[in-house]
Amino acid sequence: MMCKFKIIFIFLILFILTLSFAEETKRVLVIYDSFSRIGEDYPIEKELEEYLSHYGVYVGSVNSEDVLPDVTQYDLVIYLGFQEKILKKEFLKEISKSKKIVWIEENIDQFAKYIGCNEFRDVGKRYGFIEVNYKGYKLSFDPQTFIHLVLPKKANVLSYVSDDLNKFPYVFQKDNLYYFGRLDFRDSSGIVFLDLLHDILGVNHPSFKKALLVFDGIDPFTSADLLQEKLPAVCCQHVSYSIVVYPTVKKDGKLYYLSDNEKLLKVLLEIENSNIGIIQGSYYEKNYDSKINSDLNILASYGIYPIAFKFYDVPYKERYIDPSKFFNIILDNDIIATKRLYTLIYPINAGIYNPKDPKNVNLILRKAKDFLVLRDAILGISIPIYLDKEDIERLILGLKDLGYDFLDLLKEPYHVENDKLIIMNKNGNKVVVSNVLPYSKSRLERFFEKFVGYLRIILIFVVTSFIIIILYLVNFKIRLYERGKKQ
Amino acid sequence: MKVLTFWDYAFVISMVMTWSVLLYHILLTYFGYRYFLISLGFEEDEEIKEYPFISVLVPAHNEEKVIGNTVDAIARSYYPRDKFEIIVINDSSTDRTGEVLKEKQKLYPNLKVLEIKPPLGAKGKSNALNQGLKIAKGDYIVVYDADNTPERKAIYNLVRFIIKDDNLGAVVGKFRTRNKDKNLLTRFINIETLSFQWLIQASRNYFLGLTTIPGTNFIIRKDLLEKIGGWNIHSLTEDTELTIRIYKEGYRIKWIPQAVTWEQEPERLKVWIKQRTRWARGNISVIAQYLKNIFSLRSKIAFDIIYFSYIYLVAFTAILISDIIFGLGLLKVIKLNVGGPLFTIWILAYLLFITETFISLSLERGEGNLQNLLIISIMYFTYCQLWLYVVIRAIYFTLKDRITGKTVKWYKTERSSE
Repeated sequence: MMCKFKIIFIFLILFILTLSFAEETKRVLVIYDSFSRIGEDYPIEKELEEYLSHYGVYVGSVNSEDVLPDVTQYDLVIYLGFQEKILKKEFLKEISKSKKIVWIEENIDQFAKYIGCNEFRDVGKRYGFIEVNYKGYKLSFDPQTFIHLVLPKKANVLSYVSDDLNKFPYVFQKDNLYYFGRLDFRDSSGIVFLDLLHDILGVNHPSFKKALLVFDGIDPFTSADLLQEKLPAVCCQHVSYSIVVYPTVKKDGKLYYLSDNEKLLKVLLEIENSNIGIIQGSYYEKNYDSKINSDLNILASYGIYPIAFKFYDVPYKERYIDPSKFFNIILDNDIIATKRLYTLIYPINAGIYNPKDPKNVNLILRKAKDFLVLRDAILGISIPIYLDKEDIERLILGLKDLGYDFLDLLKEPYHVENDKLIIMNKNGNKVVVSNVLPYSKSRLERFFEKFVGYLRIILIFVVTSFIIIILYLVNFKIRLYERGKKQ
Repeated sequence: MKVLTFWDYAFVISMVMTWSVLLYHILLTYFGYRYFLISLGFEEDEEIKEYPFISVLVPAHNEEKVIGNTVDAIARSYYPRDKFEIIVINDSSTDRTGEVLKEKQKLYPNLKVLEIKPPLGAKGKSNALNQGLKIAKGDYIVVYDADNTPERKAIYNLVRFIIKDDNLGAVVGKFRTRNKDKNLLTRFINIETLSFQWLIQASRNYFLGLTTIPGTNFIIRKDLLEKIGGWNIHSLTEDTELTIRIYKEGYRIKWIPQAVTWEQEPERLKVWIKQRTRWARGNISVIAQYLKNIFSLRSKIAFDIIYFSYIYLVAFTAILISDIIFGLGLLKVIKLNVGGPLFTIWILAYLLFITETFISLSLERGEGNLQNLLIISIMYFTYCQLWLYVVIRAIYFTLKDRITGKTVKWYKTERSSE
């Protein structure tokens, strides 16, 4: 009896100790006037909620018109002031209790007045800034984009914006208040925000600079020769890269398979066997999860085992749900790596190369330079397979010069699974357990191929011999009727 | 996984069927060329020691435009005048055919005109020939259509070959297109007739010892004709039907390129379609008639019947299916999952058609030229595809006649003015 009591007591002590030393999940409350700015449909609030998963925090959100929850229960409150409006006293009262508050753009003057602070001068929206200065880096900025300028009398300015002549505070800290003159994940303000958030939340992520190169758009219509021509440009630079393969393509209502392009399939199998990560792409259609599953089985039947999934033009926001049933690594057009339950979302944030724009490599390299300020940046670049070889080399060398390492997806903790297949990284090795039947042509296809093959040989021979007969007849003027006429 | 559709199976089957015929035609081309080389060795100047008396039958129904020239051409033949008679069967003509013939009778004493009127006449070409056969005195019967212009030595050549070989039931000569330069249609027909004769007639003659009587420019033993009961008046293609009966009697038919006649071909598409539909209907009827008793036929003629039934019933269907699939593919309605170098095959098939046809033209004086080469290349997409329409039309009428129990009537091809 005594022994039992002792064991229970020891477990109780251990449990209490574990709870005491465990890091508590931080809580963030996002308060918004609207999901996006007036007149725009880019959902900054939704994007922010997703990006907050990068920091491993709990996220709550509420409209500024609704009753606020107890803000003291949150480690950080982020107010998205996208509309100039009169804030209610109750709102100001409640929000003023926040432990830490990040204020974005509008209405800071009302908050300052409420808390009795007269150190801010709200200048309003201003244009013409050409760069953002942050931690010694100069980030590019479009002069046609506004910054909501607030000039503090006394504050810790964390970032400036500057035009040709002067610099102005863009982000500053005053006590527990952080003010951002702009938040948009489509420009440099987003990068600065996401980096600073580490400090504001007290999250210590290891610092690195990794570039994720993916060759995109390889589908049944891709020329195998083109693929073979482009890949050596990357291999010569000794950098890791991945390729995105779309096993089926619907065109004009008809489905085309990789097996329709046998030469390409052969090249892809060589790639699969040469330690290059293959990413599955699936064009969107209804019942997307079935489509992803079917495409996965098709690739496996060819002997190609993808390790991640990449979106292509998926029209709905909750797009992680379908591929995350099978893949734990997904590539999407985010700007920072995030995590949704067991799904890791790697960003494609440097844009997609546009071959019609000759300055595009420069643009990507400029973005890569901007991303240097983000302490744990993964710079995802989607390169269409038709990009010039010289441009590929220039891009890689440029990234190397900026100090980027190249991310090898094969070293990431990938796990792909459906009812017939498991592909996973086990101690750095790719392990595949597959019950998918290998692809083989039907009896009809095999017969027809042989038939057409032999037919071609016969026809070449026959046509050649007929041409010889014609030449013989023409040259030797042997014409039966002519002979008859001579009589 | 990849799912094969109905269209994949239909395409493969139609390809195999079509190409089985085309591969046979490749062999026929080689055989035709081989027969050409052999025919070069035929003795040209061989004299007939004893000329047999022959009767030349010319059925005519409203042929005032052409009959005069035809009689003139036959009458001027390189053959002793006392050794042949010309019997023109004026079958219920309502134009000036009778008057033209009366004029010609003044010039040619060996011209006989047999006037037949309903109820005896107006029952088609076979009936007219049968009436002519009744009064024919010759040991051999030569037949010409009313629009023909035989060359001087045509009858002579027909006779010299048939008298040499007792196993020959008939000898068939070559026919050429008199109005070939009239328009594009007649140019097409000229190419078609030459191809038919060298690639089908000559080659089958070499390979199987088989020749189909074309309805004109041929000689046949009179006793044989009487034995088999003359021409079948119920047949639309009396010539094909007659051919089979000759073979059934154990005789052979030979095709000789030296006996040449020039005939007038349709100059208008409407006339052409009507004429070819009659041919196709007649051939389908003959096939249907003999296919039932295929095992009672001699093996070579049975093979030929099977070949023609395959052409009309299977190959044309296969071509139609592949045309439909091609069309639907172009319209992007369907996509085939079976693949291969199909474009290369198509190009080779096109080249095959051109070379095959051009070989047959190169055997004739003045035909193996660039203009005809161009016409052949157009023909593939136009004239050949028209045949599909003709066969479908013929099958439709045949089925309709079978269902309604309607008796088929022979109808004459409309002549153009000279």
